[in-house]
Amino acid sequence: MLQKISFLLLSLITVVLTLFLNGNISFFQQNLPPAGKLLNPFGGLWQCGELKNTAQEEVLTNKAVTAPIKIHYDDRGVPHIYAQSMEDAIFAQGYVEARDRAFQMDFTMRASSGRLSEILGEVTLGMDRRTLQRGMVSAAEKAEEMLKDLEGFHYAELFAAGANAYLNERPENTQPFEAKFLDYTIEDWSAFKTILIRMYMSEYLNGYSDDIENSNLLAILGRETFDDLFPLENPSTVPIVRNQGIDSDSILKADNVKNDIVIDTFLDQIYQDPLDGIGSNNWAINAKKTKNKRPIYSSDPHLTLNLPSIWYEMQIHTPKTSVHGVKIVGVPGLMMGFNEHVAWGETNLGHDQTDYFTIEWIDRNKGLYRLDGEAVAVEKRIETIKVKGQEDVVDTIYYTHWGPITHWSNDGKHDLAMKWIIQDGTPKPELLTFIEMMEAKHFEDYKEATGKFIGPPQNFGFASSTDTVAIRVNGDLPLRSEEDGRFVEKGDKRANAWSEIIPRDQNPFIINPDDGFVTSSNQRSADEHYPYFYFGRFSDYRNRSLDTFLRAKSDYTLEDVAKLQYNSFSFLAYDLCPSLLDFMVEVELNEEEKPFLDVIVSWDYYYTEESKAASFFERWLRNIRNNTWDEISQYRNRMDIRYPDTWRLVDLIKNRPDHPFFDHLSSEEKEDAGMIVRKSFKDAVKYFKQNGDLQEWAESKPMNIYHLMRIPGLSEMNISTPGCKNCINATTSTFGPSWRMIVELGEKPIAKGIFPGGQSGNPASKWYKTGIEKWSRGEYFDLNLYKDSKNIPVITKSVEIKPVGQ
Amino acid sequence: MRKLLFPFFLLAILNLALLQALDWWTIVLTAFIVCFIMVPKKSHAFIISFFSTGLLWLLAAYIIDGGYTIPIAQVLGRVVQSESLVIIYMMPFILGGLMGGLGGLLGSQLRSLVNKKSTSSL
Repeated sequence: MLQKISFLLLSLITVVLTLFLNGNISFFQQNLPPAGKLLNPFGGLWQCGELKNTAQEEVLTNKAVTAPIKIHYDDRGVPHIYAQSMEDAIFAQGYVEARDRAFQMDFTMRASSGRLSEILGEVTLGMDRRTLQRGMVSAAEKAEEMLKDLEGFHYAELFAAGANAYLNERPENTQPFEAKFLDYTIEDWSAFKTILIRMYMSEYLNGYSDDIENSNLLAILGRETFDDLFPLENPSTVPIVRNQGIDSDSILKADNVKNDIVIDTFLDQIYQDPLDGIGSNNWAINAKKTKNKRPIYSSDPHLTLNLPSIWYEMQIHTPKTSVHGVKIVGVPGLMMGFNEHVAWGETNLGHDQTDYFTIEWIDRNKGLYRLDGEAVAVEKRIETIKVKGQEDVVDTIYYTHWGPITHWSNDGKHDLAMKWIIQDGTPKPELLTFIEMMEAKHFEDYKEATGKFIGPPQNFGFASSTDTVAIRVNGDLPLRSEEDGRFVEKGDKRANAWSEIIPRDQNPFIINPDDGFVTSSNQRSADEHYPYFYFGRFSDYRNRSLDTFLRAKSDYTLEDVAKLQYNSFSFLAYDLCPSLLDFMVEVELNEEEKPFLDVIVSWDYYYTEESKAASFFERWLRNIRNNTWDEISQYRNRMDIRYPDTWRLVDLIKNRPDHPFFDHLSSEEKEDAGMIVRKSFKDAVKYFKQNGDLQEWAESKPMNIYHLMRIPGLSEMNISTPGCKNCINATTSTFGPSWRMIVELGEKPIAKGIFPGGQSGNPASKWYKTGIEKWSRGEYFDLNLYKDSKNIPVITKSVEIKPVGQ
Repeated sequence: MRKLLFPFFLLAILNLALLQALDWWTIVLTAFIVCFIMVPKKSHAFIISFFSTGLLWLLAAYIIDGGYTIPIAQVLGRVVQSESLVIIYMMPFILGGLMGGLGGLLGSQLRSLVNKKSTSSL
């Protein structure tokens, strides 16, 4: 009997353990990886490696292909695609991308469509709900409806066919490393998923707005103080476009109602925590300002640095073009790159394109709201979120005339609907932009290709071998009346929102200026003469550095441009430090404090890895900010607020040291800028004395490049590299130049490029983080166009894709 | 000794063949069946199954890693924050061994239960 019981008990334990190790059951709601599956060397993680001796030549056939395609991987894992048509090349793009980045494609698609919880469990439920609440999926569906009847949609379908040619044919046990950990199978790709990724990029780059913060601050501070602290324009900025001549007869008039804003605080609501750090540089120098008398183009987009890298690099050859560049996974075409004739790249536009409107409910159940005096019913859409290891979660998304309701208030009176330009883009065959750019030969081609781009709006930099340099804002920009979209507006009148888009030929645009160069770095794109209301979140210092450096030389070489991309000079520190030091003259410092001041006095304003001054300045400035804006930060835990821009703080310190905001709330005496600067200095010294001594910059603010799932072991931590948020080499602890490209155009382009990652998304590949070390030192890889594949110095792997029957 | 070595190698060969196509938990079943058929002593059944399966998994992982540009054990080590590759290779050894061992033990237990029943029915 005892033996029987023991047998049954052991059987039960074995079955439960097997199910647990197979991922069928979990304990304490923990989604642990299925260890049995993972550690089985015949089917688990041990099947994810990269063979030393891979087959040199693989051949496959596919019915979507019209002529044989050859793909050669070089010694960095960069695929060189040789196709007889752009259609076949895009098919091959999908194929190589799925081969190298399947998990990243799937993960990004899930992040775009509120489906992360399906593989990660409850931990991402909040993120998924927010994504769905912002109407990302319905916006993608709307965009697909629009795009599928337009030219270029077939490229998204061919890309998907190429990706699926790989995904469907590989054996089940070759799922990506992460997919095995999360115990799921990568789905097939589709054209719709490409559109979802486009939505994701729009959300990432332009999905923010300061409307709520501005409304709160307007209510708290009053109009006069608000205008004083948050002026619309920084007079020191060098706008991208100056003196753009727009025919006054062709200027459109915004017909939306001016200033129907909500002056009210959105108390007890913490709605959003926007990303900070996104930014980019690009510039193009005319031949006359270069040593070799050939135009030079430079691009370095600063984005969240991740592993696998956001960028995937490739070279494409068709009878019409030979092009090299990078792309975001899941989208056909190349977003930044060069061919024999042109080079191009983008920087993000700070101009505001997201507005919030209060909803005036008519019934208690929130089914009807007021619009132009009528009761209008909300449209409800049920979204089901699958959650790993748990019941599905069902969410109802409310759609209004403006867009989805994204913010629900506690009192029901401050529910906000979001109008986002990406949700009502004008019909344009947008998918063609990055395809046609690959084939562009002249400025007119660039204008034609970028004219189709809807969003997220970007400053498209351009240079051609015929010595044209230009930047145009491409993307739909709302036509606004003055102040429209700056604050939360009342949602009871249709006329409160923009209804038209600025004609593309009136978007900010500059070509071959007398200065001999064009440059953008997320500053205002247009100057004060631009006829349309233009505002948003702009970068204020990199543009001044770039403008200064680009003016200073007239014989630029590619090496100089490389050095400039890596330049860690802070115009902010240069602008502010002399004023800070003036205030320090009056103060008596003790022996402990003096060395800290000496560090700043002898500083050259470069954020080098060894700079101790940079570490001290950052802390000092942070203290000045905290001590100055205490009147605002007291509301921080109760509502969304923002602080005045750094340039405004600098301006007040330099020009209005007796500004009332320098007076500290908690002290009885009346402080001015000088007292705040000195107190902040002493506080900074105290901080470093209490937290170990003053560290070098790279040590005090190391950079981390996280894996998409933030697994430390698959990330690259504590990278030492120079730069700061306001430097041309714009780096923070998680943001930085995600791709550096420099191109000298001429008879034959000379180009270099690098990104802080590698071509492969597989953590077990030697190409997982190939570029990080060189990138951190400011070095590059040579990028040569190999029209004949025989000239590729090292071919590590080749794939041939043939049409069926050949 | 030969009595022990035969099921040991038989189990290893069976697992090696079956795992090319079947799921990992096949190791529980193969050990169960082999020990039910030919290993009467429970302690022997557990030890044979444990080492046969565990060593197969360990050796396979090690040999497969030898053909890779970066060994999986190294990548897995980074994920679980272990610098020791020995610890990483012990993971498939212990897990494979344990599940094989349990299967073998159960097979042997059932064998003695069945034998007892047939003896008592005589």
